[in-house]
Amino acid sequence: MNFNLDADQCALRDSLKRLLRDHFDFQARQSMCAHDIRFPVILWDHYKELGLTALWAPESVGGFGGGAPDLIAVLPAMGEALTLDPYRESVVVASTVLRQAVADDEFRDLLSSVADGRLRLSWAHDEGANPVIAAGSDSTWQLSGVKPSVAFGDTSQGFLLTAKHETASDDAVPSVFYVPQDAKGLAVTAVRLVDDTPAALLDLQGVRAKPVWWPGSNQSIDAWKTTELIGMAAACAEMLGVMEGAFKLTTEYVTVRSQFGRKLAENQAVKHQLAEMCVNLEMCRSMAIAAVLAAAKGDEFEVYQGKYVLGEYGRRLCHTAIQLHGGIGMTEEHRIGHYLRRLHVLDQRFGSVNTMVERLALQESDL
Amino acid sequence: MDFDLSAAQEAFRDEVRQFVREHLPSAIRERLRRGQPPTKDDIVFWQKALNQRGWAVPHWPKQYGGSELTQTERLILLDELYSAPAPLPQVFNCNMLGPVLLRYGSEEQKDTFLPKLANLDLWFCQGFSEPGAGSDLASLRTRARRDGDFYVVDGQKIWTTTAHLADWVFALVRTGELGAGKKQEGISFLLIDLKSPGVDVKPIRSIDGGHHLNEVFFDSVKVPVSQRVGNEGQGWEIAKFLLSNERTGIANVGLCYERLDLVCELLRTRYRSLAGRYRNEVVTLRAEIRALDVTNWRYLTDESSQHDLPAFSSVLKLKGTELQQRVAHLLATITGTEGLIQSGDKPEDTPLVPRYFYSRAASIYGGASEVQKDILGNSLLKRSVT
Repeated sequence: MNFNLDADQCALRDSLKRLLRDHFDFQARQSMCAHDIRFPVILWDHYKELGLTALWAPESVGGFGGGAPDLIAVLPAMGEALTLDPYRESVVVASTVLRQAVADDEFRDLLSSVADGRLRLSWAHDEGANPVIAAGSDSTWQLSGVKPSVAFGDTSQGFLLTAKHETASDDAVPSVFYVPQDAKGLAVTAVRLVDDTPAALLDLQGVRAKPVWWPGSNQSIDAWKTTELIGMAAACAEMLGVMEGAFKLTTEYVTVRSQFGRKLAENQAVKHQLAEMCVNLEMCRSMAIAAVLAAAKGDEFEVYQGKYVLGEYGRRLCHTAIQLHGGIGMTEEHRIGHYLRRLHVLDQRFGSVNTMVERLALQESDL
Repeated sequence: MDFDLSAAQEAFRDEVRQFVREHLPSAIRERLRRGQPPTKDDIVFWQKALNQRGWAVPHWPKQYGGSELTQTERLILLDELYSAPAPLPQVFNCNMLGPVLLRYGSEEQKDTFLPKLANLDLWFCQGFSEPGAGSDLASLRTRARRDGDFYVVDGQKIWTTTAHLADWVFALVRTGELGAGKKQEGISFLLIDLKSPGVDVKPIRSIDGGHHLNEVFFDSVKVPVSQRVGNEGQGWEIAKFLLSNERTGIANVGLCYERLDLVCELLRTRYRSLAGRYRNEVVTLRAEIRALDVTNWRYLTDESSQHDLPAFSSVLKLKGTELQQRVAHLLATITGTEGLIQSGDKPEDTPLVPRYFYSRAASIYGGASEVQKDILGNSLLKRSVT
């Protein structure tokens, strides 16, 4: 039993932290938003140099063959820095999809391009009022519908897009299709998510697309589940970083800010809130580790538990962080509120706490 | 990173399971499962059985009846005892006084007491709290005046758990004047035979209607100086060692899981119609207990966790008691109006509501939650400044 990163993982984490400190401080982030810059070119080049874009691809296509536990080395640092780059979506999730499809030359080439950082794909899954439906069979598939909030979809060169067959039941597992950004019948509208993440609304009208796995096949269902679990585990690891960032900032703030002639931290009510934040943070550190290890093994129950705990405790922690900052915590110019915004987005992505409770309840089958 | 137990650790778990299956009488198991506290006979019988294997005091040296298990093995043993459910080794003997004697006791005290503590031939209780000294323990006033080879003890202890079952008490007493220096000074640690003339034990009924707690009065009780542990005035240091020494059981993870299993069992059987209403609560509690479980493993097996956060044990105490209390409340709620009838001590009783009431003690004893938050908060602020 071992809860620690190995030496390579520690080195990667420390390099990434340094990189983000030097190239993506909060002012740089604010400036990106103010100037509507939607992709941090220089930072991405540094990611490539560090080997981050190749981390998830198998060695056979020039990657490092990383596994789910590496998520803990990388994503907490990104969560703490509140990054606005598509690493989670375009590298972690896209590589997870494609490395289960390397038997096909086209997908193998796509994966290799993702690994060397040239190609960025978005994971287009979440549905709105007008879900994307796949029509057709055999060789020709046509997709129609709307994906309302595809993270980083505005600057992606292509989409790994989920859709259900028109005859599929509500609880059927969707199929994954590859849709290039310039596909005929696809309209991409740039939007932003509430945490400033650049995103896109995709409107598909009869877009012809190639399935990544044969729709409805066992392979398709298994690959879909694996992708979902890795996505959840990635969100957990990033939420851990969000919580660490919010906690650190709050602890610093209450030792500096004075009211009624004394530091906030001298009030027992404040000190006790810090203690509660710390308890929640430690529970979440444990469950983020548990979730990534479980995702690697395909243990969905433990991953759901992790996503629930991170979402629920993370939200509480971010609420307290804003509360202890007082008025300044409500302003957009202060960093603390942005942690709640990111946490809310990560809670909703890959299944919210409510979804997790619903799924876990289904597994308590004898109740 | 990995969560896997080694083959040897898995084998140890099987060994414990088999031992429990073969030696724990089903009558004890069933009573504990229904929520009844174990009787003194249950505890004594079971501890003697465990002691044959060195598992009553697994963390002690072999010389004194222990088996020098690793932290991981101890946690596996504890998990299995909880999930059986079986009585746990008597905590005052095994986890409190034993380690104190191993560290501070004279050779004679070790030889005299340790084997009896391990085999529960003597039952010790803890005499720390006083009417004016609860969470603020160092304000204690019980006096021990030196008279030749004896101390003469006068004063009162309160909240003394199991004093009515106990043979002896280990007590903090004041051998120096209170008020002269710091109040932590002048305290000594004495072992007192409860059969000594001048000792009077009076029961305190607690809110569950049960008798767990007592007041213990000392009226000119003569205690040989040879029954002092450590030096005169070293009592506070010993008490701090005693309170910080016990780590394995602090989170009560096994208890939480076992009680949640009972929730599920009740919702599958007698209260089947309520399953839909409580399913989500079961699910969220299970996830939170799992978080505590993994955190407990981190604390016990990863030294860096304590280095990074010196008050880590407060994290476990706070979350552990919260979850324990929530499961206890859930059990009481499920029994609904049926659970409202006062139960006696009949073996077939299922006293889940009284157990819920008594669970409120968990966030008071062993350092109240408010004290734990002070400790944790101060440690966080210190870390932030440095």
